[in-house]
Amino acid sequence: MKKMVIPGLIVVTLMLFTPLTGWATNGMNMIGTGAVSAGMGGADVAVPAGCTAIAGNPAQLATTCNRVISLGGAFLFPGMEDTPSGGSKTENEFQVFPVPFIGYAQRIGTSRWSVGIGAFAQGGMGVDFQNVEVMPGMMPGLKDDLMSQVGFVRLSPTVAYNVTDKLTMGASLFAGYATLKYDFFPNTIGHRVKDLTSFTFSGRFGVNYQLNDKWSVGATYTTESSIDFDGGELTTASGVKYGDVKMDGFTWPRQVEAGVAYRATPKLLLAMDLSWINWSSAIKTVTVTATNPNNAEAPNTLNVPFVMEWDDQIVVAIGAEYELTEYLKIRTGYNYGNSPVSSANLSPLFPALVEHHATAGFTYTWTNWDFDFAYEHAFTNSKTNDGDPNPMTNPFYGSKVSHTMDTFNFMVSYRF
Amino acid sequence: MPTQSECLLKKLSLCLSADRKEKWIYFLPICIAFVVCLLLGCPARLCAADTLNYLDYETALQKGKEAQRPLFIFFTSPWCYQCTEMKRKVFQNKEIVSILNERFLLVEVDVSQNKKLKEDFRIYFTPTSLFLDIHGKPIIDVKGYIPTNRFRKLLRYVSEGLYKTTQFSAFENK
Repeated sequence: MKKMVIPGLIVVTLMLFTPLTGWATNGMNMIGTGAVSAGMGGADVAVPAGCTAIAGNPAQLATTCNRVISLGGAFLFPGMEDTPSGGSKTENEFQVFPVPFIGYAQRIGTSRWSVGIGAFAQGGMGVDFQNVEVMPGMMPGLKDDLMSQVGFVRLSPTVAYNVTDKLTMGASLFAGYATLKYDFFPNTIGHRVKDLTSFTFSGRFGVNYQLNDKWSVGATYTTESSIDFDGGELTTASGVKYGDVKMDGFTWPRQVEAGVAYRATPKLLLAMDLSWINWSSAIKTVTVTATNPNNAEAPNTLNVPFVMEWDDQIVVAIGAEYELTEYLKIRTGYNYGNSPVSSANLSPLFPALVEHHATAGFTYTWTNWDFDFAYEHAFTNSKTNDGDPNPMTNPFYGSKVSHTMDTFNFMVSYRF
Repeated sequence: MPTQSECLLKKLSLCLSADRKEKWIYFLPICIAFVVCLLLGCPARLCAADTLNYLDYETALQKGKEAQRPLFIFFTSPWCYQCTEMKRKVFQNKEIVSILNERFLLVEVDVSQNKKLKEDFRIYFTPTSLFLDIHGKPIIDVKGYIPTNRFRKLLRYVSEGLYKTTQFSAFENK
């Protein structure tokens, strides 16, 4: 019985967070976790952090004070448009995705060790297009829905160790829980999938080196998480239900980050990160396999491949922090990450298109409290599917998809 | 291959009919500006005009008795980020430095080196700011980062002997 308690708590904690996950902006990743990181455009690898080091560079956990607890989140407001070839434009239904974060960190006495634990949304994506024209060139007037929701949360125990006064190392274990559902023209020519879930483990290793009073450098490596969804249900447009559904080929990618921070003046901190996200080996062809139909005349097995073939992503993040007073810091940042979605395989169901982000934020300190806020704007980016013109293999040929997003980040931390 | 109309930077006349990889060119000016800022940006003035005059503990205790001045002991460790922050901000304030040098005897203790003082004063956290009277008896200790204004109040509270009649919390809230 005792053996079930800890895994049970992990699963329950992650499930509490999962329904709240939503759209992310570097592929499916958030550009930064926490309002401090977000305010600096996600440039946080070599920047001191508190609890949010749990979701960033774990080595930065060593910069935490005695004990700190942080609670916060982000509200994401995506805006999307889908214009099928030869059809009219459909706007995404209004959506708000709350993305929570909770964390606790402390140094163990005066030792070299710091520890922490946190739960946060690593990312996800989601669209909700209603009454989209279904291949208007072939079936004029036919309309149906496109909806997707992918959520991925992580529970992360983290440890950091001061090897020397300048070198710090850290590691995070990620227990991840993912959910997925989608509607692919479920009432006309397609199907609906719901309740797919997966539990997965991965890790992150980070280092930070303080070169001198002004310069510090850092790096992280994140292992990939193979996410094998199962336990779902698929319903075809004709009403056949498949009770056993799984999805293969979906992986959260490995990632390498390197960053530098420079204290230009006592009040001004500049930071820059470069990241490589290996989407090309993570998202290729995702295959949904459905078995156990409730109709004997239906095929026993249904295979639905989604050819995605995402590209690797290079992310550049630049941020600045200025201390107006000892109690008020302001931040600004810029983040660019090339869209991993290729035009040939563009789908309005998974359009991770935004590339350019501008951010601004502040932290106000009052006694032992820190109040953080950040705003992110992801500029509109559009792509048109220019892949295989055969509508039977590429139903979204010629579709133009646009994507933009606004995000508001909040965080409250208490040091004690 | 994206068309010109898809390019965000078209309005800045920077857009070329380039594939995704060549979009890197757009960030060249930003990167150059960043590097220039790093190299030519405001020179750091991390060294204040005045510095704190630290003594070893025994010397400070003896001189404190002679000069009738209390002791300020700053417990730190090499990996203590909040200690660095206090040194960078609070201990760079000229007024603070002046008050500390003139009205206190100062000791900095690296708890990773000086285990005896760490044990004697039961220091379990850095930074800890500890004030002792002229007999070496603790007056008050404050854990963690102390903002400049609060630290200024703390110095006044100790140096003016207000601790003999008032709790610091009451003094602070006046």
